[in-house]
Amino acid sequence: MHKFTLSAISIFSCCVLYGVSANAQQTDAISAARKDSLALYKADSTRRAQGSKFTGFLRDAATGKPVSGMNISVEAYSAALSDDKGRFTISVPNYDAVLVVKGQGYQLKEIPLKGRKKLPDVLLFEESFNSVYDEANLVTRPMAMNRTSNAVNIVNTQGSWENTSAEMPDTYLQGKVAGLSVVRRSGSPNAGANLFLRGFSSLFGTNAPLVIVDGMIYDTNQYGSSLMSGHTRNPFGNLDLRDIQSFTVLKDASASVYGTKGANGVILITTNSHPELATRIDLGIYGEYNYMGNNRMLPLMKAGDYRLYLADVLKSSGMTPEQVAAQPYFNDNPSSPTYAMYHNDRNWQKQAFKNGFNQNYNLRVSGGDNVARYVLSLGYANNKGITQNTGVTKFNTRFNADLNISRHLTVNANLSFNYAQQNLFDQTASETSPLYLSMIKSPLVGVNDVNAQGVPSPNLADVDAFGIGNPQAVFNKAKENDQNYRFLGGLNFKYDFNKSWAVQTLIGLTADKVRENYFVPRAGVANDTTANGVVDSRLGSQVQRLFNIYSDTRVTFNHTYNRIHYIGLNLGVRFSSFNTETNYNQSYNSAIDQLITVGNGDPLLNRTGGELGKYRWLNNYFTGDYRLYNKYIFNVTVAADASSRFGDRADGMDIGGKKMALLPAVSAAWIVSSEKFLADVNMLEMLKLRASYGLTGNDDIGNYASKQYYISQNWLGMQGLIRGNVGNPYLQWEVNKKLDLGLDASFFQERIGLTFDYFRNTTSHMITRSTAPTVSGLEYVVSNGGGMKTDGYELAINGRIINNSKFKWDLGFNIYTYRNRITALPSTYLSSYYGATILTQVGAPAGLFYGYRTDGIYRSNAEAAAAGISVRNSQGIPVAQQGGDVKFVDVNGDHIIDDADRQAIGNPNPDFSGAITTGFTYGRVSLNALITFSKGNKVYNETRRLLESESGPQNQLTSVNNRWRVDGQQTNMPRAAYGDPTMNNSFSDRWIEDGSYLRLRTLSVTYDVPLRYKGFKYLKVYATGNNLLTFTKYLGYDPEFAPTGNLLTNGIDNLLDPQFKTIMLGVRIGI
Amino acid sequence: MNHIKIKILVLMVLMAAGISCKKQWDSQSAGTDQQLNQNLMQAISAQSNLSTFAGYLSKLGYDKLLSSSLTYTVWAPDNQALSAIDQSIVADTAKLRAFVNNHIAKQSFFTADAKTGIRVRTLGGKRITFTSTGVEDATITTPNRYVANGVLHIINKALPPKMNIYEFIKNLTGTGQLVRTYILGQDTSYTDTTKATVSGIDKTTGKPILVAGTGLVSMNKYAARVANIQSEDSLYTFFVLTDNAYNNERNKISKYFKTVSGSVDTTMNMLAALNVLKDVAVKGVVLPANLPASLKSVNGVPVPIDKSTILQTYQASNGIVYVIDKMDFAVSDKITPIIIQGEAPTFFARTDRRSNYAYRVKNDPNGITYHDLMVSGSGLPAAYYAGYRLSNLYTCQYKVIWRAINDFYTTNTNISQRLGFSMIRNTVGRDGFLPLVQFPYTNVTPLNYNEVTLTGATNPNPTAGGTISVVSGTLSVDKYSSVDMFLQGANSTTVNANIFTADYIKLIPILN
Repeated sequence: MHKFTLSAISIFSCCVLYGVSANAQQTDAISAARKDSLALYKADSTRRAQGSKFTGFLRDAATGKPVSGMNISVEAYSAALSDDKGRFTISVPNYDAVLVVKGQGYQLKEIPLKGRKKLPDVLLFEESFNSVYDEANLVTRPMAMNRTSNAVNIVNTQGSWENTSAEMPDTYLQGKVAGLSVVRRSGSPNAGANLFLRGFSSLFGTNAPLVIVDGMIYDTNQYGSSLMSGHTRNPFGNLDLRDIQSFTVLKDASASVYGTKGANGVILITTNSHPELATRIDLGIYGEYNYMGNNRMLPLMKAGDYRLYLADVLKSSGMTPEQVAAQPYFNDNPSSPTYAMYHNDRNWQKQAFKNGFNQNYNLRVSGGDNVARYVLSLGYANNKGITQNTGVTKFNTRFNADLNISRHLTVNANLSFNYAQQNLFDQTASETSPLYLSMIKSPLVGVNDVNAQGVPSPNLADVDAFGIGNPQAVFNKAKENDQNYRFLGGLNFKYDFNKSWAVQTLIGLTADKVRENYFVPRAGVANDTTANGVVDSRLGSQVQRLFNIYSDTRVTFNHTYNRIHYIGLNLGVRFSSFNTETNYNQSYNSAIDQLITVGNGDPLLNRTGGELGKYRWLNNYFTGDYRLYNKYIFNVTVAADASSRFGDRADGMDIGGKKMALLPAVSAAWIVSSEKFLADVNMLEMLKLRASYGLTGNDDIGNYASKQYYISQNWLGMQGLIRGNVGNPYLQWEVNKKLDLGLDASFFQERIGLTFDYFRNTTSHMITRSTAPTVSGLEYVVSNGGGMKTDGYELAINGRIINNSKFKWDLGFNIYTYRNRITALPSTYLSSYYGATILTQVGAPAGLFYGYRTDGIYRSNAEAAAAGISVRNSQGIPVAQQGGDVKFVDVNGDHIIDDADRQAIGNPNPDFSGAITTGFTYGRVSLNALITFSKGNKVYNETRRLLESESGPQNQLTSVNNRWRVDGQQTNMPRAAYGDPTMNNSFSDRWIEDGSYLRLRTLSVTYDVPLRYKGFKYLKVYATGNNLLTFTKYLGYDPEFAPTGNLLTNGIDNLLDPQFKTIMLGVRIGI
Repeated sequence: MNHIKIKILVLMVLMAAGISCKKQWDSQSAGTDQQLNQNLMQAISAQSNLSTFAGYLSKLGYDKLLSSSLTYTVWAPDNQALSAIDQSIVADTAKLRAFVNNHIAKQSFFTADAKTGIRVRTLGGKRITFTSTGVEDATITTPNRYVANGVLHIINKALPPKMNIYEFIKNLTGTGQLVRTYILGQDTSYTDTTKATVSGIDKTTGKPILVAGTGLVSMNKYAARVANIQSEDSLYTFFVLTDNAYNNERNKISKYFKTVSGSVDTTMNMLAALNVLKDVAVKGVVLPANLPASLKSVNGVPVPIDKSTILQTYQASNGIVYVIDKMDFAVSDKITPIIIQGEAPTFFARTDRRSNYAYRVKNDPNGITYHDLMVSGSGLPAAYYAGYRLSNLYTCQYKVIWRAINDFYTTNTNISQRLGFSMIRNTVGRDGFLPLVQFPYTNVTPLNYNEVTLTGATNPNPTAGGTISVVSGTLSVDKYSSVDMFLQGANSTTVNANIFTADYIKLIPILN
């Protein structure tokens, strides 16, 4: 580490020296440039006087009325205003110049003259119009979209006031960016979404794009897993969407500027910046209603069907018919003492879900003067989950300020603090998960204990005769929560030497803490048997900390020579130190259910542990932009990264014995429409061809995997140290080569816009884990042995279909598709997750489901006997199949169904996915809708596997009513068989479903109330519906879910809280 | 105007939200099989050839039962089958219920479950035999009609409830009356304290006071001891002897149960009757076609069968009954040797000599394990004995045999021991005995694993009215009785001189 720090310092000083020397050299260039500009100025004055003039008309695109008071300029040459007829006359240096039109209430627009002396009327759209001239907040400077040579998307939130408070920055991006998959994890509040930009790049490293908030890395990694099963703390929950002004998504090799953190693309987030001077107060008050329609419930058996099923399955358990008939739940004599206990018809599922109300308050104050401008925002939200007693309470504050210390020095401060407390329960199929218990719980039994007369006692019923816990006991008595906060603060100092030269430095830190408390009572919850004993109550606590220091310093140079050559250069260095710490303590069997803190557990069963993580990252970067005539655009980016994670013998640039990742990227664009030969094609507003290619890296290779380390080990009460890994000094960053070919076009004065991209991302040196020999005592060895390739297409089209003064209709459509292939691996390997087996193999896409194919069931014993097929059970013994068993496809023809008969049965990656956005504005009412879709992705429905298992007393889906009973019965539902002796429930294509869906994600109506009262600027009323309509064939709660961020668990529905519907009514007042 | 538009929009939102979208489940849950949408009652009602049976079900209120969420199997006789049944059954609700009950069973039974034939308990408690093609003597015409709550089989014959063996005997008229009298005579009742009503607790004893007449449980002693012919769960082949056959057999053996001499002896008759009838029940059902010349009774005694003398055959609900006019039991099968295991003495001469007893488990030279008693060691009193109480000795002479194994000397030495019999004397009991039959001291030769017949018994204590005596130098039991037997060591206190031992003692009745 010391060595690393040394080299980091040496590199840093190198860069600074280089910067200084560059500066020194450049001094001459500046004076030359000054001279040049003086000469130019003189030339310009004469030319202006001689007067090449240009006259045009500005009209409002909607009303067709002239637009007056707009500022029209030629950069660094002349300027003019439009008059009340919309007419303007401006001096132009030549007829190749580009006019820039700016003004309040309207979009920014560029008009390349292309040699024309006369133009049709220029139509201007409103300010919020999605234009090709919108400014993207790129890494180093803002840049109009039409001037970039890279695949970049911007999403302007417009404050995103019409969204519900459940929407977070990650989920908000769903459907907004072609190429960005946003898969919501679950319906749990704050659960957030998995983000995948243009597919995947890594098997074991992160696939999440890098998130930069106001120039600082926003750490979205998870450090340690939660005590609550199925829960992941989502760092996006600590970032308030309403503070976000815009997202800029770097999809191609331009992410290379972030070096070994850019492999998955970059999302740049800008919060409340550039406030106006006038004091503004915005107050938003929102009320929301969450509900889960009855039609969204799974069709579980009611008491009648369940009892018939129970008789069938118990008969198959080896009980005699007399024993079965003697069970208390089959005794219909009302005078029997257990009659009341077993003669209910309870809808446990319905009881688990609870509709709830959310509330949300936001206050934003902005204002200032010439010296200091600020935005202060405060927010409070209380969002309920869809299951009982779950929800999150959030507080957030953000303070952004721009300070002009002197003419040259500006300071920009961005400080935010967010706190959230979330109450939740275990999810997924476990005996402590109340939702799962609600599904499998017998409808015959009740919530409370009852006496022989059927009078309920206030005590909740304990584990029932079927060994299944009482979900209500978990809902009422379990205490599981997650409290977390994050402070994110950055100060950005910028010193402008002159118009061209500037130096700036950003210093920031992230402090984050998560505390989890966990308690599950013994009463009403089934016991579990662990390695050390039988456990009843379960207790736990965990603390995760994150402390990052970040700095980014750079020298920038911008200049346009003779209005022909634009040059923009940046040279900078970023440094970050990441510190993480996780401590957990799990315990069991507290004396009574009133003792709920972890210290009360049985000391013999205590488990404590934790992890420390520390690494440093240094990123030297250079970017150079060159534009010729605003038509030909070139960009070069080079990053040189060092990281404490890299091995000493990694394959990289050697500086002082340390290996650095050298990652260059180039891009070029040609604005074809600015060529003269297209000057007369008036329908064409803009046509740009782009190409980029470059290297990015992924440094998520483990903090210490390249080093040799030791871990503690307890053996018969003796504590010792053993080797924790095989240190691999050759371990290096994953390399991701990104190729992008794109086209941006805009037609009919921007009425229609189109972006198309082909991309190909190739990962080499991909981190793999190869199984270590048993004698090594280690499970696996980490190396750079893999490769992966993802390619695909993106298309986004936006259009304004109707454009009247009263009525406007926008329609947008984006779609994208990717194909993922693993190109290199040390060996094929299988992983499993919630009963699914996932194949990772060269030539196959990642995450492929691997199991048996089935062909219905054997309709009769004779048919099964004729087939003569046995299934190898969990003990490895072949068991002959009989009528009503699933007909597995015997691949190798050996008449035994076992591991050798597995094949690929489904790909969780979609054929394509995308979104449709539409917006209507009618007078003061506007309506916006977002429809998202995904097609062709396969989903493993573990929930249905559990609920159609027919192997025990667990309640089943109504489809099980069709179970096979007798020879010749026409059905595809296998027989009920206690304990599943013939492995009918093996992981097979029976559980693989089509996860395609089309969803009306958001529908919102805004009404701008006309106000005559002077004190108020505006009053807006919102009504928003979330997740209102879903069209899918998927048989689970919801086709969209993500159990983890790991791509090998994609498409596995392990029964997380489903997404629900929310209706919001809100009001926003501006003063 | 704008407000109206908002309202319309909000309404649209709400409408959209309300639209059902879980249609995908319809195809998954919908039965491909319409039968599963029916319950048993609906399935029966839908069949026109089951209308009579359906009518009975409705009449008894079973329509509710067969529509419930409990699983049933119904063997429904078609209308033609039911036209043949006695109309008096239909008229009498109780009889009809018993009749209908015999066609319905809890849980589902498919023909595939009954490959080798199973006996299914019906609602009435009777069991019926269900095979893959039929039930009892009916043939299944339409098998395995599965519905939501069970399965329906259509059969071509009604299944009237059958009597069990006990009920058959009870209803015997004309023939087999002596057997009937005997079996019914075994009916008794007792008070089950757990079922009786408790009126209070006795203050002095602390025991519950039972209300008289409650908790009475009827039982049949024959069913309890010999063969449970009352139970529906067991299967027997039962031979009812005609009076003639019964008398013949009883007379053949009655003298061995003589309790008094020279007068009518009712006890003798009862004992002889039990001795005859304990061997008329055979486990399992042996159909007439399969009847062999001899079967083994529940007590393992050969049952000689002369098929030609079978007068009547009845298929009972728990087996089969043959009324037979002849059953020529061999007396030797009925009056069998009595074997007393040496290692199971009832008492010893004294209670303080435990250290002298050895209960041995050894293998003989043929490798056959035997258990025996060996009494030896220091401090063993002279003429020490082990006592055995023998119950219910047949009235006859016995050949007395012992098997005593002398294998405990390193140098081969005989031991001397003797056997004596006395009447049961409460006063003396274990402290001394008064033998009426005393065999002399006999040498037990080393390593002799054979049985040795004892002879030369004398009566050292002649007693008037004794139940045993010496006849021809061996034991003679003069009245059916119980006696004490004594195995006695040498009259010496020398260690190893007074050892005695026995594997078993066998009393073989001398039949004549």
